[in-house]
Amino acid sequence: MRFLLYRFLDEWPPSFFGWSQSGRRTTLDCRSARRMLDFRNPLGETERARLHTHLGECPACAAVAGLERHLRAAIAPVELPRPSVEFEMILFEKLEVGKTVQYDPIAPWGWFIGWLTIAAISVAAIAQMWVHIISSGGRLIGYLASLLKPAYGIDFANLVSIMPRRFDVMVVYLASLTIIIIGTIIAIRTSARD
Amino acid sequence: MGVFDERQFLEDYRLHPESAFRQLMDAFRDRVYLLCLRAAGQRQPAEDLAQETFIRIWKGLAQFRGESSLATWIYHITWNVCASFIDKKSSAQGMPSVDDEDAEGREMDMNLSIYDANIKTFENRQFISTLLAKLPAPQQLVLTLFYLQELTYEEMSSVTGWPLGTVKATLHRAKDRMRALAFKELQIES
Repeated sequence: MRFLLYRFLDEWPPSFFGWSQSGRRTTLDCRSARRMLDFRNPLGETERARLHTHLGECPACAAVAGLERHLRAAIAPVELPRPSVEFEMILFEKLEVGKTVQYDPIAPWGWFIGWLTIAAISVAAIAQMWVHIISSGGRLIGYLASLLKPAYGIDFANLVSIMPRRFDVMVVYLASLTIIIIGTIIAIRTSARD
Repeated sequence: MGVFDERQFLEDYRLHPESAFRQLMDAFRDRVYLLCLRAAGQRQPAEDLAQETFIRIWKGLAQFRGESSLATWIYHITWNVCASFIDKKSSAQGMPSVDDEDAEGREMDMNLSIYDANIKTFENRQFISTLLAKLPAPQQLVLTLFYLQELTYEEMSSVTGWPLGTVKATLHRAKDRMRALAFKELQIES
């Protein structure tokens, strides 16, 4: 009973072996001692004393403790290595570039430019269709006209017949084609930047 | 590193972001750089990694909500930058990645006579640093976080994104491997 009380009250966590590698009975076994050395658990006064006693008795654990101390000293150097003198300059240059992209003054208007591009492409596409309809002799309008005539009583085919085949049609064709190409390039570049 | 007042920094950042960021960089630059040096192994790529880390910190500061300490958050970003560097490097060179389980670490029975005979060698920081450089980069990073940054296991778990058990196991393996390497070196020397 006294043994159990000793185990569970005096020593926690309980040691199941209770024998050090040196073969002498201690209040701490090697496994518990290594755990204390390995992990940075805050040790109480009793635990610290017990560990100290164990290290005095067990050469293997003393060696582990010694290496642990040297490891800590070597890994946490007093003087930290410093980056080169250009480090900050290069960093702030990179940050400046980042900020230019991040706070681009055009950016708030980006949505407007986007919609304007879409509108321009749409108008140009309609113009292209219109030119093609003209050049095809109004067949599409003629087909639509046949559909709409019964409903509204308007002869849409006659509207096509009065559309002039002139030089300005060629201008509209070329202008709308140019708008479509430029608009598409702007749209691709904008989406790539976003 | 002097005492860095996190609360003061956050107030300063609201008013003067750029000067506050410079303060933060002065406080953490060398530690972040050391972690990057452990991951990269050489100065130039380490500087690139540290710069990448600070760029991410600058971009992310506005979204920092204080759910963890600022230091933990900074080390978490550093860890991510270093981990992705190690992953890229390991996939290119067939080295262990940050998630690899390292089975080589094993308990090494230590002999006090070897330790006593070589205590001067152990006291030589260069000797330990050379051994450290032989560890896989993830283990070097974990050891550095543990000893240098003195993070708790919970903080290390937040930084690495690993479960607590994995953090402890990795740390344990890293130490075992250091011991094994130390004694192997000494046996070769003697």
